[in-house]
Amino acid sequence: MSGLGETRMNLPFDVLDSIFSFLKSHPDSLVACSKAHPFFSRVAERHLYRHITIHLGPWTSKFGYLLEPSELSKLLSETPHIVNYVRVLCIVLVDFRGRTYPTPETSRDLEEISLVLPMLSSLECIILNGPSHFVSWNQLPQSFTAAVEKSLHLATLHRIHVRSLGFPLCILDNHRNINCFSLYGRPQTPDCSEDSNLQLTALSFSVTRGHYLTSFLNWAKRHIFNLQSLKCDFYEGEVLGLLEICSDTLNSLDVTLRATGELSSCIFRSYL
Amino acid sequence: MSLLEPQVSCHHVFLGPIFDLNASDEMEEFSSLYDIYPGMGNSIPLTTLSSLPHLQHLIIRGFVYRAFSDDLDAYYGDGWFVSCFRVVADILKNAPPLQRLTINIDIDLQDGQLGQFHFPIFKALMEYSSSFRHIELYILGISESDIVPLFGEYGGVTALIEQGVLDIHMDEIALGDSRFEV
Repeated sequence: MSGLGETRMNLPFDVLDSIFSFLKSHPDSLVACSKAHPFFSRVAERHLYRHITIHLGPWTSKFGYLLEPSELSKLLSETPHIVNYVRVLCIVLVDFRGRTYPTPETSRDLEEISLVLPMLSSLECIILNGPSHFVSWNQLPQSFTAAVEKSLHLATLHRIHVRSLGFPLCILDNHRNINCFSLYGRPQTPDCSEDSNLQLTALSFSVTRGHYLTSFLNWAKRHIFNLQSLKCDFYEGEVLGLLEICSDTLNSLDVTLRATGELSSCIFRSYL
Repeated sequence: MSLLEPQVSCHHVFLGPIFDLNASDEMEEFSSLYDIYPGMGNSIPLTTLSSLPHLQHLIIRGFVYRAFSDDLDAYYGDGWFVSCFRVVADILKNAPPLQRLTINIDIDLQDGQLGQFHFPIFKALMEYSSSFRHIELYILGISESDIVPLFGEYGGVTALIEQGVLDIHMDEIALGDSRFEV
């Protein structure tokens, strides 16, 4: 072993770990580091596989290590120890391979994901990036939805993010481990239990106005508990009920001003 | 169409918040150079912010964009914008003391020019800056060379920057709670 190699190996694990943590948004660099030395590999893997994004078709993302379902299956079968490193799992449900949704290929991929999900026992966050507000949870293969719902029981899991998917909120009922939830799209709220143990301390939403927003807010009011962080579209009046409930605990408020059609307070002409 | 009936058929373009234009003389000051469309607002719910005693970080995301409506074009002529400036200024006026204030403004001028604007947020920031320990202003859609000349118009901006109270970020999106960044 060369002196240079030994010097690198003698670096304290924590120092190297801290250095590699800055590369978490650069999976290619982490891959390169992991190939440089076995010791580097052990440290780099922790960051490389911390956030995995599974995609069904062509996809780019600045977050996470991108893998297709078959690639993830292969990776886990060849290097099973990395299941301990996966903390954030993003599943991109978008699929351009057909005109209908889900296509047979989509279903096949989601079923493959359902086989992998139970292996990821240290998940802290699940992100579901759906294809459209018009695709509902029940349209996805039952094996997939069941696997996701089973993962919600993980004691380590605290955050759920759902985008562009008809997501039934009642799935979250009674998951006291989940304290952070974000929803962008159309919620499904039928059959939600009045008695739920879900207690959200961080909530983010962008929900279509009207019935969807009203029902979502009614649901949210029942499930926020010592809410500390709220991010939302700010339509006049409609989120005030939430603010009143959490006025004693809220320390971070992130509001996006939206056009509503009821007031005209901010129109000006620029050149006449 | 009557000029005082803006609600008719133009709903899709109006920015919604949140105050009665006629209730605030100060706000007229912010907008005196603009021909503000007569407001129909009737409530000021953002004053609710002052009843959030533990609030430490407020992030406001707003926009300025070119809007199109035959009805409003008929009134204004061709060329008007929807802007969050007045609303943001009103929020600052009513906000409680904060450790951190972040404002993210997305500007889409299309064929307009920045020279046609003033930037009343600067005036509001100067007026109410003592309420905020640190202020971050994120501006997207225009360049630094567009915005710097406005510092001369609003002289206190440079002082706020030099004092470390105000940071201005061009062409960056403000990040919020990291738990929501996915």
